[in-house]
Amino acid sequence: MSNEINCIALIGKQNNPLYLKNFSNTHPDLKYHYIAHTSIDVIEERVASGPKNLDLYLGLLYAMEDLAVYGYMTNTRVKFVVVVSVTEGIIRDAEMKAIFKKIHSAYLSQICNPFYNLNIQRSIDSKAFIRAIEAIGVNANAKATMDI
Amino acid sequence: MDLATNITSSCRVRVLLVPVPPIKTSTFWKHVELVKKFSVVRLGDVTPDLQKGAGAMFSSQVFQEGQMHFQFTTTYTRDHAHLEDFQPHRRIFGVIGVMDCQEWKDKDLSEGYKHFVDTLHKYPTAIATRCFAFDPTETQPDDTKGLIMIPNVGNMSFYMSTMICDFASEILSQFSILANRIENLPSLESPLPRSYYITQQFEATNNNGVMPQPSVSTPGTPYNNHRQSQPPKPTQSSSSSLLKRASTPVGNIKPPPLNHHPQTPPLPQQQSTFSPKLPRTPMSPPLPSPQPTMTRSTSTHGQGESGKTKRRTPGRVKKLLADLYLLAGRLPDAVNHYSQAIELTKTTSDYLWLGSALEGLTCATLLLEYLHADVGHIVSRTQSAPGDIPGETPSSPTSEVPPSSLLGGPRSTLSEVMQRYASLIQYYSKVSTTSTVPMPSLIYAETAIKMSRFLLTVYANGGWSDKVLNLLIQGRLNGESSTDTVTGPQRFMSVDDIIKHKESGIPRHDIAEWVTKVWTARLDDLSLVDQINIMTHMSSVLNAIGYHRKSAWLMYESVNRMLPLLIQSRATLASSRDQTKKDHSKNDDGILQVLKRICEVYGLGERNVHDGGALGALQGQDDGSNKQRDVEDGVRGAVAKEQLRFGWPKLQIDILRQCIAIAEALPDYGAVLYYTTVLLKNLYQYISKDEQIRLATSIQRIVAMGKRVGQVESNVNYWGVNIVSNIEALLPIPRKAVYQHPIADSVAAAATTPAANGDPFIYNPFTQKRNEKPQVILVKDETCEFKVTLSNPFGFDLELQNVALSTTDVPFNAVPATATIPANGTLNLRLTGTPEETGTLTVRGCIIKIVGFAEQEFLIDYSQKMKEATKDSRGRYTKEEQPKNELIKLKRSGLNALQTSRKRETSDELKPIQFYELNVIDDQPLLKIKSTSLLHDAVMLYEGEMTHISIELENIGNIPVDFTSLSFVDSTTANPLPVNPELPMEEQYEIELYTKGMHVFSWEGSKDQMAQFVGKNIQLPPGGQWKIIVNVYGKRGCTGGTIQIDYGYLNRKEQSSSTSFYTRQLYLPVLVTVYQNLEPLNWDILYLRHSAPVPKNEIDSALQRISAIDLNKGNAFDQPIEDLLLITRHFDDENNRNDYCLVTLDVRNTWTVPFDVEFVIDNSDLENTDKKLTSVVTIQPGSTKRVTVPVKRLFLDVEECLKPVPSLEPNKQFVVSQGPKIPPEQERARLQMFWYRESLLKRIQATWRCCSTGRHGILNLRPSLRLTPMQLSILKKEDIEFIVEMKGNVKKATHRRFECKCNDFVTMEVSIHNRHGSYYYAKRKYSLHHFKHCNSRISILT
Repeated sequence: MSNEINCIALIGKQNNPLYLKNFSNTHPDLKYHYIAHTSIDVIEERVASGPKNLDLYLGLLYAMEDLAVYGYMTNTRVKFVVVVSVTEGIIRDAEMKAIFKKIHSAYLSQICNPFYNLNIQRSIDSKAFIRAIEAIGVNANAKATMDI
Repeated sequence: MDLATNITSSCRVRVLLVPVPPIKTSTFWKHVELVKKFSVVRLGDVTPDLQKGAGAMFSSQVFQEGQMHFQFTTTYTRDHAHLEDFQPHRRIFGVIGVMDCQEWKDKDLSEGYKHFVDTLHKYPTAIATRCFAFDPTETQPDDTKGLIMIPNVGNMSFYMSTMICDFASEILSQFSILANRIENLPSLESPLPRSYYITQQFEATNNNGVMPQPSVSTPGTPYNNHRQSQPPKPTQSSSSSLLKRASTPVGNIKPPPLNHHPQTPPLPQQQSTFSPKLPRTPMSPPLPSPQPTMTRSTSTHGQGESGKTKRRTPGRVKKLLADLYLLAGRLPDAVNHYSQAIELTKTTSDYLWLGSALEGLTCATLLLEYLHADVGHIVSRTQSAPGDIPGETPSSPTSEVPPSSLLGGPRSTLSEVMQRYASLIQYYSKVSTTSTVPMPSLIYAETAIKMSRFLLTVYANGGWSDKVLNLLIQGRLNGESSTDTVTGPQRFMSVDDIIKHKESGIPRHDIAEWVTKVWTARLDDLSLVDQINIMTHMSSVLNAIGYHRKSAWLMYESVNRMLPLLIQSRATLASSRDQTKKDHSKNDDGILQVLKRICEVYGLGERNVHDGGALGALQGQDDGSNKQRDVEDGVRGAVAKEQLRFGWPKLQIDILRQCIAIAEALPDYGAVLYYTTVLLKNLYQYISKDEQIRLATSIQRIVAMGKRVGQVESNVNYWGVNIVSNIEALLPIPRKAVYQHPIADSVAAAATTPAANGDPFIYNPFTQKRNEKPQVILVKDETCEFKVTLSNPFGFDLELQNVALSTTDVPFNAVPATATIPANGTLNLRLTGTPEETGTLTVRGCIIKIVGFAEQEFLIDYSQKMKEATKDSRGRYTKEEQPKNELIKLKRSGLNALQTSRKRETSDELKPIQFYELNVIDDQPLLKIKSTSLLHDAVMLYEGEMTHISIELENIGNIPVDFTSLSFVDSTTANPLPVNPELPMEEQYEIELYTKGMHVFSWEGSKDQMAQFVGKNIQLPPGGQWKIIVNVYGKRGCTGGTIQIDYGYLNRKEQSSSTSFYTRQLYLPVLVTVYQNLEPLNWDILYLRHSAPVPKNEIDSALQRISAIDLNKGNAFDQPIEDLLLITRHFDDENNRNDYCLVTLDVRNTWTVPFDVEFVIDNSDLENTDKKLTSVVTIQPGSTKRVTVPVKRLFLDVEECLKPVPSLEPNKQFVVSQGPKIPPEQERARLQMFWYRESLLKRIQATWRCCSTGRHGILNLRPSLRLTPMQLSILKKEDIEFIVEMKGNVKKATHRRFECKCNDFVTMEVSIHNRHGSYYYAKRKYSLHHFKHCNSRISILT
């Protein structure tokens, strides 16, 4: 698999940006901000029209140019968006699920911090969390390059 | 330029409507609308081709039910010229000139016609032309050949339809010519995609500046060409590019070597070789556009490709013929040809053409289905517009028509179409695998949009139905005339809508998927205009299915792409008039609307942001902004919008920057201003300091430019963040402060207000505390000060050129000030002003002019402040409530919230705003202390001394003073020692006596010396002076005090009705130093018993001597103790009791000068009243002297002794004693002790005098006196007294001394005197020690 994670974004339950990390060096952050923002549309629709016991993993939200946007929503309506650049090959859902699971656990440990205000509108600036997210992205990308 | 975005757009014959000048724009559009009504022509009505009849290839008579659909456009570009050969429906087949005869009244119409013909060369693809002359007058001859007069009388629509049918007929006949040529073509190439033009385009823009199209080389656009060009015959100009294509290889062979590289390098060369050629070859206008295509295609396909192309040609030809049949409305033929084409292309794997054929087939089947439903509809068009065809459909006898086999079922058609498109898009994506010519991305994108629009139509109309089919044919989304209800900019899709649409059975993400398929085409290869076009279509579709964010993003992207065009067009505005310019001037508002919509989706809607009235000012330009409305805007900006903030700041910043850029390009300075202010005001937290400064300066620049252009008014209020955070009236200096008193009782009553309001507690911690803050009362014509707190949330300093209070209700002369608020800081400013009338002054806020900006009023809502203040005062409840308030309760999130909040806001009006109100009262007098008798405001006293201070007052006000009152506070009473209720009552009494009973100050003028608050009516005219004398008493421990003078002018004529009056106060602080000069100590009371009687004359002389002692005589040092003692030995004959005791005390002089101390003992009792003894003693510095004074022993009644200890505190809180209960006897003893001490102190009074300085005062004995029970027993007369009296031959010497002869019987009478109130049951026991032989008679006296 030669797909690289370009961006990991966390969106709060009020659709407020919680955190966004850009792993690519070709696009500016802003582009991923837009992608994450537009993906809310799709997530909302999936959730509205989907079955009651929807899986947390929402699968491919949409593809744009050479980017594929994957979504995941926790039970508290916090959304994770991962943007993957599709150069070649297919992306297996299992891999994406694993990545999302990692992000989810990073987020869980973040909100387990008693000093973190869940309802705060500002973005997460915890160093541990940022490190965890960066590790997820870097690991996944490293694995992708190793596979080649 | 128009894109084929409808699934049925491939059946439309494009006809261009051109104005023939001179014609008014409005007239032109009126006629265009008229012509557009006849966009559908039934084949049966079309004039049959007379020459060939039914045998003609595109004869209208073969399939009479068929319809021709015209698409009348008014714009013409050759952007997609390269695709015209591939998809004939892109081509302009006909040109209709619109002429207004009214403009040609005096001139020859033929001239106009000639003019029209002259312009025809611009439209080389047109195969049929007409010129309609509307509204001819009677006089104008209808003789010009080719010119069709449309009279405005009679059955005009019938006439028009005839003309259109005629026109259609001509087109049909031309079709056959076209078809012939196509059939004869040796080979047909695929269209070259845009990427081939890209490099060329850059070249072109370099050369030409504006036009992004390669078709600079087409003759249509360069205006300078057309004069040179000779008018080609219109009919001949129908020679299509297809023909050219066939001929060009012959006429214009390019050297093949140039074209070996298919991609880039040769192309600019070609272009450059062609473009200079153009002006020189005006005869070849129709040619050049296909030329580059041609040459290149030959080159690219080259030798290798040509064979393949040849093989594929038959299929392609079939497809083109089918296209033509479709255009001609000959649907069966079209279907037939399409199926042939599909088969042929499939075998040659010519996927591009295959896909296109499939598209055409889909269109044809849809049309067929439509026609079958509509087959009974004889008159396809009457006077009515095609718009009401759906309305007529039910009237048509559909029931008579047996359900045709083609109309298999609603679902099947739908699924069939979907399936077909799904497969054809697959074919399209495979194009590149089988052909060297890549897939034209435009076609791909169009296909995706077509399908998404098709699905959307079904979706929006609740599933597949005839109605949907009708709409599809018309290429509209919705049944209603205005598609705006779905795609309009102001509407957000609600949940209800989504549910309503759900029954259509088409999931939204299917539609979205088709839309996103557009992205798989390389949009960047397309021309900007096409990109914008496609994106707007995508955006509208997404919007209609409720993907607002995506839609907004696409809008943002498309606007982004418009930006360079806008800038270009503005840049070349002066030099060239090009078409983009025309569009923009028309669509300026449109772009702004789009921006508004984008902003709304991103949480920057007009209702959600602070705009500081910039928007209001923008709108105000239209209707002349009135002041009142501005004010309301300000209020809204300040108050109402607080809660509605949401959004994604990073995106918002980007969006706003883009908005600013767009608005600058337009240029619309108002919008620039608006977006700049919105950016600065709402997102300053996220913007760096530098950019903040840049934005702030750019605001000034924008206004300056806007003013020059006239778009922005000079008095725009655009600084919206409320920088005034608080306004508070300052208490004036104490000398000028005004105090309000109720008029009911006098000032004295007001002083002792702690009223008995039924509360048993004097201090109740649970009672509601009154607002203790003194109310600020302003005085007319006197300057008052306000504390204004300004805050600057921005990252740069705000320089305020002018700050003044904004007030209403009472004329107020505000004094402006200047200030600079530091970045991210607050500033406290003192603003002054003078109220000029009495009444209520309302402080609205501040009027602030920031340097370089317009003056603006910032309002302060006092009600919110009050709320906060009360919340704070509630103490610990606040802490619990605070987090609750901070919690945000969400009922809706995202765009739904936006929608609901919008509803809410429209429903309720502006919040009422409460301003800061102040009372302004009438003039008040003003006094000043002119002089006092004090030096440095200090007075030195010995303890117990009394001096006088004289204070001179002067009235420096404008009105007289008629009332004054003095009140005094000293350091001992101002903060008295707290009385411990656990202390014994006696000690409490002592403490109270000290704090309350002794006053440092008293007013000489008052009757009661001790009163601490005295009022007086005086008359002091302006300028008058008045002297007050105040007594000062040297009280131990006093360090200072204040003399307070309240004064006012009460007897106003006009003030009779008011319930209160006002006074001012003057304070005179006095420093008091009290020195303790004499110290009494060591009290003792001794028992006196004398045996020897003293002759009366001695006592008298002693009394005389005592009274003779005078301090002035200097004989005071020899204290005549002996005399005093002598007096005590004085007996009465009658009441000869020895009732003196000796009181001694030491007095120490702790000062440095000798003092004479005079004791006055009041020994008066019931019997003799004038017995006063004085004892004078001089005490040298540092020495102690014992003073001995005889005091008559006391006896107090039992009742008197049992009186409770008095208290000087009038309202003292009763506290139940916590300590152990004291036994009653002990209690009685204590009370007795207290009262005896009191009466002893009453009897002895001491004064001191300093001979050298002449000062005198009282020596306070009280603190030093402590009585012991022993001393008390001496002081007190015994309860029971025995009085012995001898009778008979007895000589009484003195008291209890008798003389009698020996051995003589005398009668001794012992009387017992009981002073006590109760009976004593004493045992009678007689003991006669001394008198052994005597008869005793005891009489008991009760």
